[in-house]
Amino acid sequence: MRYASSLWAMIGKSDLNIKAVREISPFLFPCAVFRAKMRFKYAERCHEAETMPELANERELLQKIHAEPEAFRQLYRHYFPRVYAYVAYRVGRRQDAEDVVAEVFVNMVAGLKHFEYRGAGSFAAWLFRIAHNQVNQFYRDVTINQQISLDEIPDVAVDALPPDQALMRRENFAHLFSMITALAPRRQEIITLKFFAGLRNQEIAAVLNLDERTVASHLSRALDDLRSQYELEKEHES
Amino acid sequence: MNDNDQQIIDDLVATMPQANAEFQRQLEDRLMLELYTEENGRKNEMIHTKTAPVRPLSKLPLTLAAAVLAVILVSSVLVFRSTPSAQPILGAQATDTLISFESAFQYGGQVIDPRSEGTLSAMQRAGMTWMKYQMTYSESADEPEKIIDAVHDANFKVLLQVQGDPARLNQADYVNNYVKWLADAALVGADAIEVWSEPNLDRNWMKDEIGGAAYVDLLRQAYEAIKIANPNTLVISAAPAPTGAEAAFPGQVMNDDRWLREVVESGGLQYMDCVGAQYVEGVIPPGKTSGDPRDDYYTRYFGGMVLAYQEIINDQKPLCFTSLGYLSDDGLPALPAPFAWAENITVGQQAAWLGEAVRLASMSGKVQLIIVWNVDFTQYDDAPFAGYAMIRPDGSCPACDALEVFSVDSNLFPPTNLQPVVVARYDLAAGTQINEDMLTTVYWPPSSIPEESISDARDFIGQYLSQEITRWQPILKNQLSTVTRPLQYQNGSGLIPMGWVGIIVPNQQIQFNPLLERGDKVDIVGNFLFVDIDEDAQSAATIAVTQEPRLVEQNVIQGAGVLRLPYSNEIDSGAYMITVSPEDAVILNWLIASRIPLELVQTPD
Repeated sequence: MRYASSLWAMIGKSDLNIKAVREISPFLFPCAVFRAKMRFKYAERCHEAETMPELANERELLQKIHAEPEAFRQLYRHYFPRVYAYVAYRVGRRQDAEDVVAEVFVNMVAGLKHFEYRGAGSFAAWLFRIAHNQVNQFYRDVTINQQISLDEIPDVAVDALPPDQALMRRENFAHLFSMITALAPRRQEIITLKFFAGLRNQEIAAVLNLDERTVASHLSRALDDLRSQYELEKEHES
Repeated sequence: MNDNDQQIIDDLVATMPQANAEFQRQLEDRLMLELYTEENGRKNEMIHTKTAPVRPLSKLPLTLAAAVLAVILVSSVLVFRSTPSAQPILGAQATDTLISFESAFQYGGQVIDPRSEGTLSAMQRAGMTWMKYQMTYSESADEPEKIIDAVHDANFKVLLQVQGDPARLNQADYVNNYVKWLADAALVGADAIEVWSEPNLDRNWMKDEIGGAAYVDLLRQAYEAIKIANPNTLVISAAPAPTGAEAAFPGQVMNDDRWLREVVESGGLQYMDCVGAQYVEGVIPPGKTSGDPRDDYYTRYFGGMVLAYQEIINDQKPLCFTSLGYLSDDGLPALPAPFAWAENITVGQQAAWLGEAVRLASMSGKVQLIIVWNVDFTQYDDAPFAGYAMIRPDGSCPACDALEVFSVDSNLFPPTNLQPVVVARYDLAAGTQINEDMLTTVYWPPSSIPEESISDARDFIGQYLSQEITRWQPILKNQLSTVTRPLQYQNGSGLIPMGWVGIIVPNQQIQFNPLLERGDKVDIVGNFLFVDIDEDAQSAATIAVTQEPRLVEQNVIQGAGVLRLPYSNEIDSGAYMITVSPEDAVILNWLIASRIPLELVQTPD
């Protein structure tokens, strides 16, 4: 499996070009990999790269949101991809992801009048708390069959790719999804909030009502678990 | 950056799920409407404040009203079990549905040990889906997460009742921390929270300060914090202790009906999803409306409680009996003196009455949740909790059998001949965005159910009606749309007036008129190019090269209606829907087929 070998390579490598990563995908790259596996060698630089930057004028946008549609539009378009990515990796199926994401944003709109800005990251933490609750509600309401066909999975940047590569990327998603769902529930939450929602550990701690150190610990163990799965797969493949 | 690095980065980016752009845009439209459309706001306001009319029943004297209720309930049973009539049975299970309740009525039990296999087994056998657990808040209180996880692991929904220290209710910091604790419980997944316990008694509230208004102050803070933390967590107001003893104990006790009335008058209903109630003093079957040997006070009767509370809250919220139980000392020492009123109740009666109470509640349309008090308590002293327990000292559970029968029946009987149909609770205008308050479920014979009807409303919440629906009319799938466009851009096929014809006119053929609105009346003007032919001297070939056509604008159709406009991003590809008379339809179709450029000229109604 190409993705498996690539991630394995990532875990094992120590000379990745952080700047290039930030340029291409500023909030995707898993700095926790570096923190956990490389003795914090790149921790400081990686901190900048690991999260999607907050909107510079987020506070002002939130203040104007009830009067100015453009304020809402900016916030929505900024956060939608992250919420969608997080939810998609939590629920797996495209249709389920769309249902849950819609509920998240409807609840966000309903709750805006109660939201109180408490500094950088507070809105993201609040929004992803709603998303986290909605995902949990989804799993309480339905019995999920984790076997997901390729037709059901969300789009994963398949634009302008030849069909065989597009299919491979869908397979990569399905594979990574199955590996993540094999993790303990708490670790699933943390790893998806980290890598796909792009939250800082501090924000994840706020979302899950945990201590920041507990988040870091879970994150490290989740990556260990993933690595174990890769090792196991490599053994089977060989 | 080497090739390997780039490959890794590509892989990471490649597995980032991307939403369908159309979905993202539609959701944005929908949210914008929610936030900014004045009409939508007024509509929601109207719906949220709309209340069911006061039932004449509630004006009757208590005992008579209870008797009428019993007749209604018994009638409902007969209707359900007899051959279905040809007419739809309205209101058989009509209720103020909350979206988080999976059906109109659910039940569960209060436990002392949510991990006990015996307890879980008994509850599962009894068909219960909710588990209530009582906690007391203090600064050193246990985290609620462990209990919540344990209950969820056992596949039950969890209702937490959270009591605090009444002596510290006047300390703002303490109240803040209590509220924060509730929010934390909601955050980690509590399905419902009952805020406080029996606040109409001085053992649970500050003496001389008991009152509904004071409770609403606490409830409001709790509700707002809980809903911010988790909008899906249901907030249930504290069930007051049923009592009529305030005259005997002034300042220490407030009658539950007066307390609840104060809650309503203080605006408390807006801070709860369900009104908490309890009924734990019955000595006769729940369907009885008279004959209690103590007196005929309404708290003696289950039906009396339902009617009294619904009258107070004017049917604006459902009732949740967070404690409902019958006391029996079978297999136990004699009851302590204050509970001697229950000395003649057998375990068999306890079981039968619990089953009957749940059955009556499920059909009342007033009660959304019953929590049996209790499942597995063993304490038996001055507080004879074990006497209420479903699981008896010998390990048997007759009440489980009775509730199992109800559970099986409730699954069997309604679907046998009657099928659920979602209908409109009010008249609904086209373009209305559906929410749970607008719908209710009734049960109809299958032969009366139209195709495309809906049996479960939850899948359609948030969608839009494409046409007007009158009260009690079934909602059909083809009347709903996920399209979140404003009304004037929606498909208007359901709105074509009787005797008129709807015709789609491609936008390329109509000069776009940004001032038009759905419902406008228009004249249709055709732009014809004419050439004058001298048939004796000219042929078609010479005309084409030698003669400039002259433009003739002709008003060809008057009084047409606009039913659909092209959306803003459909200026090139969209279409208008125009309604015209059948005669004009012939003309309009010819104009379209001939590709005659058209203009829509707005005319006064």
